[in-house]
Parts: sequence; C-alpha cells; structure tokens
Amino acid sequence: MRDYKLPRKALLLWELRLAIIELLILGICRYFYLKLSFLYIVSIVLTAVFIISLVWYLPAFLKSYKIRLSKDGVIIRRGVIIKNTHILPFSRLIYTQTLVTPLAKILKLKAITLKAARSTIIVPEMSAEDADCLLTLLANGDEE
Amino acid sequence: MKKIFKAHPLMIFTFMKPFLFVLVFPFIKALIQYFLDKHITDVLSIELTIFVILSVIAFFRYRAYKIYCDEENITVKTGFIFRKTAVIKISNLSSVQVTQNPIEAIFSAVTVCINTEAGTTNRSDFKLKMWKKDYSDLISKLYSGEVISKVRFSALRVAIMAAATSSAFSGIIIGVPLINRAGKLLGIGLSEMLLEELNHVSSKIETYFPPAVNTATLILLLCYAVSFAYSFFKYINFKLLLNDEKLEVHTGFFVKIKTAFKKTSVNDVMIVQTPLMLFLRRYAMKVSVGGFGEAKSESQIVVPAGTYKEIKGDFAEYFPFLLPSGNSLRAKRHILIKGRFLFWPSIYLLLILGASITSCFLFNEFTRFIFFVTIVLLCVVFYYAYICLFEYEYGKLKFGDSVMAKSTKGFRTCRLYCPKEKIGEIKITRFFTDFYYKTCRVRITVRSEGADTMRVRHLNYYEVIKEIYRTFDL
Repeated sequence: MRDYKLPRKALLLWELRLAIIELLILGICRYFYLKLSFLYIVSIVLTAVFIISLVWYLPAFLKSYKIRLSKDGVIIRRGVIIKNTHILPFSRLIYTQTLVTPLAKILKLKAITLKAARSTIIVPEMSAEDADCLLTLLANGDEE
Repeated sequence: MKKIFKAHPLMIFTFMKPFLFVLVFPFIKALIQYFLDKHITDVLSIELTIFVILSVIAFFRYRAYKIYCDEENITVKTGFIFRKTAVIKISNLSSVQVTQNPIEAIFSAVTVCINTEAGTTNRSDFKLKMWKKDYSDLISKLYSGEVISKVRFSALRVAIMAAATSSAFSGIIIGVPLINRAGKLLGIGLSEMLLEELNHVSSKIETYFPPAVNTATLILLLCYAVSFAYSFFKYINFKLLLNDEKLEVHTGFFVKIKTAFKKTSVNDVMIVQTPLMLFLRRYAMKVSVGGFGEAKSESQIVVPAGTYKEIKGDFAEYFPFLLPSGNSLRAKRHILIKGRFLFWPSIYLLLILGASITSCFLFNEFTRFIFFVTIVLLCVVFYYAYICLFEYEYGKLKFGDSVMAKSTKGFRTCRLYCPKEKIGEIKITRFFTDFYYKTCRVRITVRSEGADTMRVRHLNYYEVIKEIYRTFDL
C-alpha cells in the first residue's frame, strides 16, 4: 500500500492557470465595458471569486487530494465542498495517459489520466518522478 | 525490441480539416480572386496569418505523433503544446482498424484506429495516418503469428448480406445530403428534378392505389437501392484471415477497411437472421469487440451470409471456446404458453382492423389509401406473429462457461454466445401473470460499450434461478 499527495508546486500551477484565465476575462471586460456596463459588475464578481479561490479553495482542494495505491486498485479521494472517492480496480484499468502542459513542464509536473471502460479518472499534476513511479506501479499493479 | 512508428505527412491535412470551410477554402478563394482580378480582400491578410499559424501548429502536431511498440506495451505520444503520452498493454487492445481511401492509396498512406474498451462510443482512442508499410510492421508486432487460413466470400454472399441489412431509412440518410451537396456544387436544383422525374414515372404506373402511394413506394425503393449499393461496396472483397489467436477482416472497394482483433477480445458472437435472410434461408455472423471507434456500432461482421450448416461450422471453427454447455432452458410446451407468446400480435391485429374499419367509415374518399396502409400493417403484424412463434419454438437459454441465448430482437432472429465472465447483467422480470404460470423473462446484457442484449421470455423461474446460482457460484 502506498499513499501519494500532490506537491505544493501543483498549487502554484493552479494559481497561475486561474490568474491567466482571470486576466483574460478581465481584459475582455475592460475592452467592452464602455458598451456593456454590466461587465463592470461581472469583473468585480470574478475578482472576488478569484481571491476566494486563491486564498481558500485551491489550498483546501490540494490538501483534500489523497491517492492510495493498494494491491488491488487505486483509490482517489478529493473534494472540499463535495467529497468524492474514486475506486478503480487494476483489473478494470485499460490504459494510462500522461498530460504535460507548457506551464507544467516548466514546473516539472505531470498529470495522469486513468482510463477504464466507460470511466476516466484524472489525477492532477504530480511531480514528474512521483508520476513516473505511479505509472510504473500501475503498469505492474495487477501482476504484483 | 522497441520500434518507433511515425505519422504520415497527410496527417497535417487531417489536423487542418476542421478549418476547411471556415479558413482554408475562403483563403484559397481569396487567393484565386487576387490572381484573377488583382484585388485583395480586407480579410485576406488576417486569413493568411491564421492559415500560416495553423499550418505550423499542424506540422508540429504531425511531427509529435509517434507510436512506440515493444513486446508488452504500445505507447502513443501526441500533442505539440499539450503533450500526451498513453501507455496501453497490448493485451488490453480491443481492435486495430485500418482504412484506406483512394487519395490515401496514391500517397501509400492508411488511417489507423487503435481501439480499447476505454474509448468513447463512435470515437477511436487513437486515430492517425501512417505509411502503409509501417502499418504492416505494427500489426505484425501487435498480433504475431502467421495467417493459417484465408476465407474469401463471394460477391453473391455479400450482396445477400447487403440486401438483408439495407433499409430505405439508411438510404435516405446516405442519399439526401449527397443529392443536396451535388446540387449545390453544380448549381442546379437536383432534388427538385429528381422528385419531378419520380412524379412523372409514378403517374404512368396504373394501380388500384392512389398515385401518392406509387410515388412514395418509388422513393422508398430508390432509397433502398442507394442503401444497398452503399452496403455492397462497403463489404465487397470480404476476406477473413485467421489464425489461432487473431481474426482479421478485410472489406471495401473504393475505401478499403481492415479490422484486426484477438479472439479473446470478443465480447460476444451473434448469429443473426433478418427478415429477407429468413426467406433466403441465410444467416450472418457478427462479433462484438469492445471500443470500436469509427463504426456506427462496435460489431464487426465475420461471415456475411451462409446457410445454417455453414454458419454452425464456421462458428465452431472460429470460436470453439464459445460452444455452449449446460442445460437448455426453454418455454414450456403448452397451448397456454403459446397463447402468451401470441398475445401482443393478436392485440395489434384487432387494433389495426378496428382502426382501418373506423377510418373507412370516417374518410370515405380515402378508402384506397386506407386499404393500402392496412395491407402493409397486416403484413407487419403477421410477420411479428411468426417471430413470436419462432421465439416459442426455438427460444432458449444455456448457462455454462459460455452463455447462449436464442430469441428474437425486433424483427430479427438472433443467437448470442458470450463467455460467462463477459456477462454484465442478468435481469429477471416477472409480471403478475408470471407469478401464476411460475415463469419469468430473462434479459442478458453483455459487458460492452454497445451492450448487446438478448431477452428470452416465459422461462421457468425456478429453473432459471437454479442455473444462474450454479453457473456463477452464488
């Protein structure tokens, strides 16, 4: 049995992504708000959401993420407001997929997708070494 | 030893395909306009910039698409900005399907679809264009072993299958967009011309029925012909290559399709008889393989048409591990049980007769049309009654290492063979009459994306429960 947690760098990556999206939306609102005045309110609301996410939600979400690799399968727990638990037996795992975005590459992080028939479980960015280790374990999981 | 397979340069065009109508065609049009009239449209420079950016991205995406194959795993690397790497165990592959259209044939390219059970319906897990020689290497790596036997099916057998599986409805789906597009390209009202011609021809045919019936019949026949031609050219050159482990099906005339899969990847085998096949005393054998991508469903025809003896022999040869064992469960031979099978056809018959007699009284001027509709509906009901009687006579269920269900599905008679470990769900339904007769309806669902199902009615409830408990060690 082995437990994995998401690194602090994953939080930084989420914050960066959120900041990019926020800036893009704010830019669009700024450009159009002379014509559509309600966009001013939209941008204020979005900024509030952004601050709440940055200060509370994202750190709590990172903390809630627990990945456990047992001898029969993988169990993933996550969620702040709504808590989810995904259990995927190795026998049902069809294949694994890694995803590296440009930002994740700079921070040396990798996301993993576990594909089973009719379901997909996404494990967000882990450190590249941890991800490789997890992938190796998953590849040999049903043989161990 | 690890082998690397790269994508074919035609892949660049595949990546550009979504922008064909919004960017590529307008750009080419603007370019032609510039050369002809020496006039640049305002958007040309923007289009040119976006076109160049997208072409560069498509080029790098093509360069990034690679397949690594070793003895155990197949690794697929995709993406240029967002890099994805998928590692799939070869034993987890459902099928590999390859198609080649005439343009690809000119450039020695093929489109390869790699399918697993994890794929979404109607979408392959991975789809790429490869060099033809690379595909041969890939397939030999994935499915090792020499081809032991090669079966070629005659054009007649393919024609029987095409005739039996075609329908006017599918003809409409294929034909109507084709006529509309051709009409738009040629700049003529092709559909109007066709309808006018059909009206003209049908007005010359003198029957008891009104002209509208003749026109509708002609349209349906024409649509059926389109569907038949499509199916025929799709399945012509039907070849089956097999060895102990794998099956490979080759079909197609203009667009060639090859599908390879391991026998162990087969979820279930269906022996089907459509209404037309019933008159010709022929059957078709289909297999269901998890995660088929481009096909409309996940079934693959293995034997297009054959007599019962031929199909039985082929089934025993190709899938010996699916030969059923165990006790046969079937409806009790009794006049009352037979009556239960014919309950719904009798109800439909009475309803049709009642509705047509009432309509004749209400709409005097449409009696010929009502007569025509009644004849058609009665034919359908009598065939349905025959199907129900077939279910009574031959419907059965066998539980063992392989589960066999023989019954009807819609207007087709079907036999389903499935390994017991691939059964997804067994549903037993009992209505209030079933409590009196101690019977039940059993629905077997195979664990697969398309989820083949088969229902057998009016079986003894206690026998079914006993057999299920015994087979699945419950």
